[in-house]
Amino acid sequence: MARASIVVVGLSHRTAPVELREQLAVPLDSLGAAAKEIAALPGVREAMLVATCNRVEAYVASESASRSVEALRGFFARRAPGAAVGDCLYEYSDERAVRHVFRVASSLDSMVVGEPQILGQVKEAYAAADSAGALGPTLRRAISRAFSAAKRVRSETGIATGRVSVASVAVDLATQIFGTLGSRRVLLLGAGKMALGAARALVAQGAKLSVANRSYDRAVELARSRGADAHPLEDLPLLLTAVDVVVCSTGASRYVLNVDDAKAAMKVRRGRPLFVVDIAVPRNVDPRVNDLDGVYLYDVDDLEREVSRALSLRGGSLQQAEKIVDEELSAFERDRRAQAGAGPTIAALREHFRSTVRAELERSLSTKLKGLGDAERAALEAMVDAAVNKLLHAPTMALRSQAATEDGEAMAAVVRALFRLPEDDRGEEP
Amino acid sequence: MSEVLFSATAAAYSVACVLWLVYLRGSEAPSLARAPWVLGVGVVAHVLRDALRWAVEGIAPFAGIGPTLSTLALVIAASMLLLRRAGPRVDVLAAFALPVALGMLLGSRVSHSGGTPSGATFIVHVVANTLGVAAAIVACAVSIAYLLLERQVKAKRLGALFRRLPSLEQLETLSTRSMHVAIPALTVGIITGHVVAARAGRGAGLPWQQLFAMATWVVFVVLAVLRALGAWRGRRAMLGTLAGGAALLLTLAIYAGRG
Repeated sequence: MARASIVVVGLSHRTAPVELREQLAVPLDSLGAAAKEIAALPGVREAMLVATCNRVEAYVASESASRSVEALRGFFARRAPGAAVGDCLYEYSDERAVRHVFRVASSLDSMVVGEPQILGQVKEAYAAADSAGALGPTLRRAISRAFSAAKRVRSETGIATGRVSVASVAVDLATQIFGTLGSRRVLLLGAGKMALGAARALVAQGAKLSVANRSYDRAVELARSRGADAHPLEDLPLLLTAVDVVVCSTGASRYVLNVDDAKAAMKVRRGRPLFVVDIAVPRNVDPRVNDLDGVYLYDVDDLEREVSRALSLRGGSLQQAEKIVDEELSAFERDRRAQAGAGPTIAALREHFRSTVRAELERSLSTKLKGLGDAERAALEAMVDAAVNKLLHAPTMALRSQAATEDGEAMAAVVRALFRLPEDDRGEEP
Repeated sequence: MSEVLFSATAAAYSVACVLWLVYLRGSEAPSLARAPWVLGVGVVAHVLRDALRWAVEGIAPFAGIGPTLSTLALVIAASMLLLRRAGPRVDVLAAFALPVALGMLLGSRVSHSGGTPSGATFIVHVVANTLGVAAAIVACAVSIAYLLLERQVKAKRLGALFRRLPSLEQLETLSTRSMHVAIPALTVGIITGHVVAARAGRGAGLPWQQLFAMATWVVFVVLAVLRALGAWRGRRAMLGTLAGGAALLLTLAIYAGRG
């Protein structure tokens, strides 16, 4: 059996618009069936389909890279009839395909580098393909190694530790002040887009939302769509005593929250901390509020400074992560060479010895040793087999250990030449 | 053997403390997972050492200030292991408590060992004080973590501590719980201490030492009252706890010096 090529054909946020990605989307419960369908394509032995909102990729192990690429392009074209899918597809084979899946699983190819979801999504795709019987040894080894690479990238670099948006920085800060946000109350002052995003992110962590606006009708409208309670802006002093986080983004040209209001609120709060996020420009909150004990005020500059810092931190980790991918790729290729290189040569060597000795034994048994009984014959055959195994133990071990090195191929060639073994077809052991 | 176990204990406490401190400084330390194991080894060595000393040399855990300091160090170290159950990231607080435990362990060498404690009141006095001081030291470790984290959040300089310490709220809760253990235990300790002193006829002797211990206890009680009333929370409460902890360590040092 010929050594299998690993091929990936797909598209992602880098190459295809969201409309096309939506068209090709495959729900989780259909991933297995899709993988099975791909595995049945001409020339394909094994398959796995990764489908997320940012990418749709088919990974296959095939006898011929070019044939499977053609089949996979057809597969994608059939799923999005009328769309120019072909222009958005990329294709990698062998080492480049393996590098690609390592980078994808490690979230180095993600829209937000370091995001944690992609590893889980690849694992789901793997499980679905495995359950559908579409996986084989080649993809299993490659994808398992991708999981190891991703795990190393997450644990050995700071790639997943930084925050990347104003909203996520606000959530991180609130979490580090209050712990879990499940029982916390967030007050949204105004209706700026960024403030809404931050409030939404906090609510997604379980916080309860209250909305206050200069226009009460607008507050009611905003609150209704978010399951929150609405208040007129005049309720602010009272609300400040009850909520834990305030997100401000009104269009006011003066401070909506001043030091005296905050001081009065903190007196009633008896020291309970208050986190204020002021995303408005011009600012809605007097900066001196941050001087009060237990009040933590972050304006848009503070938040964006933290976003930049987190992004630059990730930049440093990026190089480290790519290095880990390189190391894991080298190790994977080494193992693959060992698997593919030693197996057929060892099998041919054993077969050569066994058939030669058996032929000689048969000849002796039919001539000089003709008089031996069945028991003696069986004992003689067993002894000869044991002798062959013992003789071949050392060369087998040497071939296996050297196969993982650069000299592996040369050694296998020497053994094949020495014993006139037939040229192997570089088959891959299961 | 006792000496070997003592050295192993001191080394394990030091290594565990360094591992946590290195992690808190921001290093990506895969070895962090080993820190609790190293501390666990230290605690086991410590127990074995004190048990061996009791069995072979007859020095009981509370026989004088030296053995008491050693027991105190053991209780603090073991508390840090148990504290891991309180939630994620809590184990890093050991970085702030272990130096005190190590100091007490080393201090136990130079402090006097007396006879085996006798009398129920005296035993209650020593056990209660040990528990109270250990809980207060844990509260101080929590307070240090709180103040460092709070400073970063307030100053908007979010460093490694921001990502690696428990939340301010969690630290406040831990500090309050530790004080809930410390104050009743120290109260029992101070009452039984007076009873023991009176029985020994030392009621009028060395009054300034007892007065200092009393003043320390008053600091803790005032702190508890202010916290309970909600007058002190957060930074102020943590600074108060540290002040109480410092007074407590000074009291211990005075008693250790007296022998």
